[in-house]
Amino acid sequence: MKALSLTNIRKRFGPLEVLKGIDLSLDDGGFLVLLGPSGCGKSTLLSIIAGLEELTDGEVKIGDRVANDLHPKDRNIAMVFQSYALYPSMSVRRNLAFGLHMRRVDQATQAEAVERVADLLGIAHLLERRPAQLSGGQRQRVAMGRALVRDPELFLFDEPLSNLDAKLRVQMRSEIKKLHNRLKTTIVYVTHDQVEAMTLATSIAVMRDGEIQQNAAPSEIYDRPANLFVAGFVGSPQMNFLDGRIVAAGNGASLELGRDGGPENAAIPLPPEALAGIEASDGRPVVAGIRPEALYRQEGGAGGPGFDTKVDLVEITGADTIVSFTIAGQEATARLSADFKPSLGDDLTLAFDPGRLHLFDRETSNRLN
Amino acid sequence: MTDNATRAGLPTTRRFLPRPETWLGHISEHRHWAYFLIVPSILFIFVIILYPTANGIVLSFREMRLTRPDLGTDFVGLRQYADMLSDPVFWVALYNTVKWATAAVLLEFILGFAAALTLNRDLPGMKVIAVLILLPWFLPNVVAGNIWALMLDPRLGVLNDIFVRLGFLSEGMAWLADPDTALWTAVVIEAWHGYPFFALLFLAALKGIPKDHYKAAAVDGAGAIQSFWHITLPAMKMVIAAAVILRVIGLVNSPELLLILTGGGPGNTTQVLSLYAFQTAYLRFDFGYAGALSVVMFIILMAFCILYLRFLRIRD
Amino acid sequence: MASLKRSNRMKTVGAYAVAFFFLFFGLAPIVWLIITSLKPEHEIVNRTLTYYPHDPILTNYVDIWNQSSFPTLMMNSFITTTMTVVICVVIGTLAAYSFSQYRFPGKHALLIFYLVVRMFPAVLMIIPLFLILRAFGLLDSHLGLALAYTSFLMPLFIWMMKGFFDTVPVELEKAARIDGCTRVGALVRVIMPLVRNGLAATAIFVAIAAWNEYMFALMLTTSSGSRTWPVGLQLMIGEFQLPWGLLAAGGIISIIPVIILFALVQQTMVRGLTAGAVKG
Repeated sequence: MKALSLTNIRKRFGPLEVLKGIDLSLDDGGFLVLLGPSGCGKSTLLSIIAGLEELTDGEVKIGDRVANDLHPKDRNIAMVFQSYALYPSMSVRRNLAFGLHMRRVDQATQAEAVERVADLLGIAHLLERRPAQLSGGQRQRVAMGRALVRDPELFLFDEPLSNLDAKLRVQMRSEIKKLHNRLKTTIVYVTHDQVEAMTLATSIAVMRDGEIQQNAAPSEIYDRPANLFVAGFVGSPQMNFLDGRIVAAGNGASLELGRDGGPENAAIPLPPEALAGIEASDGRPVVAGIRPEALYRQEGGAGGPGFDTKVDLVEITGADTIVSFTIAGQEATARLSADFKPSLGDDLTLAFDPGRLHLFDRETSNRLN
Repeated sequence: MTDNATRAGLPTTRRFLPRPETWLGHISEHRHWAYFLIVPSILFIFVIILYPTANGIVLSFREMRLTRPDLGTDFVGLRQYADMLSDPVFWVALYNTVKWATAAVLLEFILGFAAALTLNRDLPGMKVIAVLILLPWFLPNVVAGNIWALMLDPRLGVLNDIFVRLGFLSEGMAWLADPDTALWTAVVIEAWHGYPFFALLFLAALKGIPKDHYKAAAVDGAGAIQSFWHITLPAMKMVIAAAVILRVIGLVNSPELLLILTGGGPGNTTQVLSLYAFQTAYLRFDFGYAGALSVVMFIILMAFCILYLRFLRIRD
Repeated sequence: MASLKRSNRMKTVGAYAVAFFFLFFGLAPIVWLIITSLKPEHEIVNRTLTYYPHDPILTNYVDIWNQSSFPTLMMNSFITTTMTVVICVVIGTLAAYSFSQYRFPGKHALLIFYLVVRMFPAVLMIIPLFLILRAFGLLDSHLGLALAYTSFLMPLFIWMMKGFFDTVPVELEKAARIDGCTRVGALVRVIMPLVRNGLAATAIFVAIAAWNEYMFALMLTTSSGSRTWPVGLQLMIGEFQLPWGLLAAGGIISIIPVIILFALVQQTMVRGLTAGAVKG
C-alpha cells in the first residue's frame, strides 16, 4: 500500500498556476524529498498534502483515504516547520503534548510518550523551559519531537534545517537520517539543498515551475539526470555543459564540441555504447554534460576519450583540486585529486569514462542517451 | 504497515482521534473563513458609519428642521449650500478653522518634537517622564478644558494671579472671554492636551533609527545639526506626515474642546466649522443646514489630505 | 578633554531641564485640580489666592458623591463604556485577526477603507445617527450611545489589534491545526494567549476613549437615565453653577479610572499605539 499518492495536483492563485499537474507516490517507510529552487511550488505542494492549502484540482490520498476534504487535524500527519512554530506560551513539555492533548490521549500515555520522545532526542532536561529559552538546535529538536510524539501516518518537513548554522545543519541531517532508519517513518521533506536531498532521500522529486522534472532514487538522479535542469541542479561543483554536435565517423560517431559558428572546435571520438539509444542523425545539436568529478588526468597511453587543454584557474579545497579550463571556447571545471597542484597555463590532458557522459537535446533539453 | 506497538519503543498514539469539532470550529475550517471573520465588522461599519454618513449627505440637500415640522422634509437641491455662501458666520468659522488647526498643529508639533528629542536621551528617569507626560492626552476634554477655565478665571484663576504677581498684568484677565485672546488661549490649551500624541509617535520613531547611522555620520564628520538634518528628519518623514494628517483630521472634526471652553464665543471669534455644524444641529435642530456644513467641512478636509500627501510625494 | 566633559554635563543638565519643563507643563494643571478639590469653598473664592489648601478637606468628594447625580452619571458611563468595549472586542478582534494572519483579495483596500472611515466628520454622522437611533427607540439609551461610539472606535480597535496580531508568526496556526485544532481552536488555544496583553491594552484604549467622550453623549442622551458623566459635569458647571471645589473633586473622581487603567497597561499600549511609527 502506498503511504501517499498524489494524482494530477493542480494549484492556481488567480491567473498564476503554481502546480501544473503533479503525480507522485510514496511507499510506507519511504523518504521523499521535494527538491527545487525557491518558487518551484514545492512548499505549496507540501501545504496541500497537509491540508493547509486548498488544491484547485487533483487528488491527495494518505494511506487508503482520499484526503481532499479532510481538515489538517483529521489527516493524521505531523509537520516540522522552517521557523519551528513552537507555541511560545507553552513549556516544551506542553508543546510536545499539545497534539496528544487535542486528541484526548490519557494523561499517563501522554506523559510516557513525551518522556520517550524527549529521551530519544536528548531534550529531556529542557522539558520545563519555554521555547524562547532554547537555542536554535534545541528548538529544532523540540519541533521534531512534537511531530514524533504523535506517531502520525506521515511526516512533513518544510526546510527544517535552513535556519541552523552550517555545522548544526550537518549534525541534524545525520540525526534525521538515523531517526528515519530506526523508526521507519514515512517522510515528505522539502528542501532547496541538494546535499540534504541526496543524503536523506530514498526518492527525490526535482521540481521546477510547478512541474516535476524527475522523480527517482538519488543515485538515478545523479547518474542519469532526466534533463539539463536536473543535471545542473544536483551536484557540486555543477556539471559542465558543453554545446556540440554528434557527427557520424566510420562505424562509430564523434562528439564535436564547439558553439555553432564558434571559432574553435574539438572532436572527441566516442565508443558506440556512449551513444546507446541515440538516433545517429548526422550533425545533431546536443549539450554534452560531464560532471567535474567524472574527469581525470590522462598521463600517456590508453584511457577513455579525452582532450588537451590548459589550466585557467586552480582552486585548492584541501580534499581535492578544482581546475578550470576552456575547451572549444567554453568554460568548464574538473575535480582532480588533491596531490595534483598545477600552475596557471600548464598543459593538461583530461579524459572521461564514456559511461559518465550525459547527452541532452539542445532543443528540448531532455536526456538523449 | 509498520508494527505500531513496537515502533522503536515509542508508545503508539495513532489510534486516538482529534476532538469532535464544535459548530464554530466546523465553520472555521471553511475556505472563506478569512471573510467570515471580517463580515461582522463590515456590516457594523456599513450600518453605523457609511449609512449615516450617506444619509447625512442626503440630508444636506433637504429641508429638515425638527423645530419647524411645518416646513416638511422636501428636497431643496443646493439651497442649503447657497445659503452658506451668504452666511457670514460660515466664512468666519471657515477662517477660524484654518487658524485653529494650523496654530494648534504647529504648536503641538514643536512641543512634541522637543519633548521627543529630549526624552530620547539615554538618561536615568527619562523613561518614566516619557510615560508621565502622556497623562494630559488621556484626560477627557471636559476635565482638560475646565482645569484651564479654572486656572484662567479672571478672579480665582491661579495663572492670572501669577501674571499679576510677576507684573505682566495689572489685574486678572478673562482670557477666554476676550475676543483678542480667546482663540489663541484655546490653541494653547489644545496643545497642552494634544501634544503628547506627537511626543509619543516621534519618540518611538526616534528610537527606531539605528544608532549605526549616527555613528557613520559622526565618522564622516557630521555635527549634531547636520545629523539631525540628514538622518533624523528623513528617517522620520513618514511618521511626521502620518502624525500631522491624523492630528489635522482630529482638530478639524472634533469641536469638543471649543464647545466646552467657549461655545464659539465671544462673538464667534472661536467659531469653527465643526462647532458651527454641531450647534446648528444641537441648538437650532436645523439638520439640513448642519449636514451641508459638515459636507463642506469634509470636502475641505479631503482636499487638504490629498494635497498634503501629493506635496510630500513630489518632494520625495 | 575637560571641555568635552563639561559640554556633556551641560547637555545632560539641559536635557533634564527641558524634561522637567514638560513634566511640569503636563502635570501642574492636574495637580492644581487636586489642590482645588481639597480646598474648602471659602478658600477658593478668597480674594487672595492660596497655593495650597490651608486646611485640606475631603468634604468636596463626599458632597459631589452624595449630593449630586454623580454616582448615576458614573454608572451610566460605566455601562456605555462596557458595551462599547464588548462590541469592539468581539467583532474587532476577529476582523483584526483576519487582516493580520490571512491573505485574501481586497484585504489591503479594506484596511485603507477602515482608516479613511475615521476621516468622516463626526458631526456629519451624528445627525442621521440621531434620527436612526430615534427610529429604533435607542435614542437616550446606553446601547444607542455605545453603538455610536463603536462607529469611530471599532476601526481604531481593529488597526491597533492588528498590530499586536502581526507579531504572531502565521505558522503557529498551521502547526496547531496539524496538531488537532480547528482554526477557532488554534485562535483560542494558541494565538490569543500570545496577544493577551495587547488585547487588554487595546480594549483599555477604547474604554478610555468611550469614557471620555462628550459630543455624541451630549447629542444622543437627553435624560439622567443614560447621560454620561462628562455631559453631567459640564451641565453642573454651566447650568447649576456648582462650587469649583465640588467640580474639581468630580473631575478627579472621574479621571481616576482612566489613570489606573492606563497605568496597568501603559507599556503595551504605547507599543500598540506606536507600532506603525517604528515600522515607518
